Amino acid sequence: MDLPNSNAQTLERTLGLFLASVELKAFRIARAALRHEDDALDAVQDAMLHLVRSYAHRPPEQWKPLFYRILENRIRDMQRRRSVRNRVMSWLPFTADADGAADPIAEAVSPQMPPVRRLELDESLAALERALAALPRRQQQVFLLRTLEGLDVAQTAHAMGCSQGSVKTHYFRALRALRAQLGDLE
Amino acid sequence: MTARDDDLAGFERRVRAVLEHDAAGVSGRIRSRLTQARHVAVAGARARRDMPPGRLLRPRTWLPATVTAAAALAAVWLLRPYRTAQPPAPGIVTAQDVQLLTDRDGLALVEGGNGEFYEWAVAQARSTPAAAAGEAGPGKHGG
Repeated sequence: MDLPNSNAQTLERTLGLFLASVELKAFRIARAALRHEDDALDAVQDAMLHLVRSYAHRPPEQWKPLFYRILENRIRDMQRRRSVRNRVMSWLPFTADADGAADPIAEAVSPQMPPVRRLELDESLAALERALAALPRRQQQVFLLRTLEGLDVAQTAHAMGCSQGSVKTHYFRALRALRAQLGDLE
Repeated sequence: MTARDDDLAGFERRVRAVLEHDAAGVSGRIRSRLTQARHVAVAGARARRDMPPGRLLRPRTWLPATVTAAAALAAVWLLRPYRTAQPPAPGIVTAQDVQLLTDRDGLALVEGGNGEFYEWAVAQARSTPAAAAGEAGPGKHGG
């Protein structure tokens, strides 16, 4: 029996399961920050590759904060690059939007809920996304890491590269701002 | 816990429910791309695992860099300024030619036709000093 090979296969399987468990939420968090689906996908993919390349040997319980730390850095890099690109593009006499029209079949969501309830949730979600987009970026990210991903304060602090006190402050301010904007979210 | 805290906690629960609904309702295209990204990442881990430790010593790793460096050196050698020693082309006057043409002693030696005298002087120098002192020069000797 090839024990090292078996261990490696176990590691690959564990990595695959971990990535599958975070990918959707990571995508949501990246999309909220970047407001662009393809950029968010790129950020998540880069974070996955970086985690596997640099931290796969770490204990699996450390992967989640490390993964979100990488994702956070990637999002910040992309936002900086985008702001530079926008400054340059604003001088050009055309606007390039290569995304084109979305494919309605590819964009179709999985039908797991009654249409009326889905519509209600979609409306709430649209309002929530608008409110989230209006938050300062760090408040937004702390809020999503805590609420959507379920990281605790220490993990969120590690992922964001800040103190636990900052995480608590950002989270409370974000919650209060969203509550003020959205009222009773249904 | 105050009523305000309860209110915020309830709001937080509702927000979480909405966000989870959205995470569940991501489109097929996004799910497919995320799955591909995950597979690529895991395949990367496998490739790194399978990479032998001595890979950096393999010619396949460093050969392209060596070839590139050699090509760059060859380009520099070919494009360097032309400085090798070559015989001057016909019609080109060099500094050596100028020096020969302006050397008066050399010209007198060639144009004077006084070679006989110099042959006699050399012969005298080879004979004894006394004989050299007592004998006459070529003008007297030859008439």
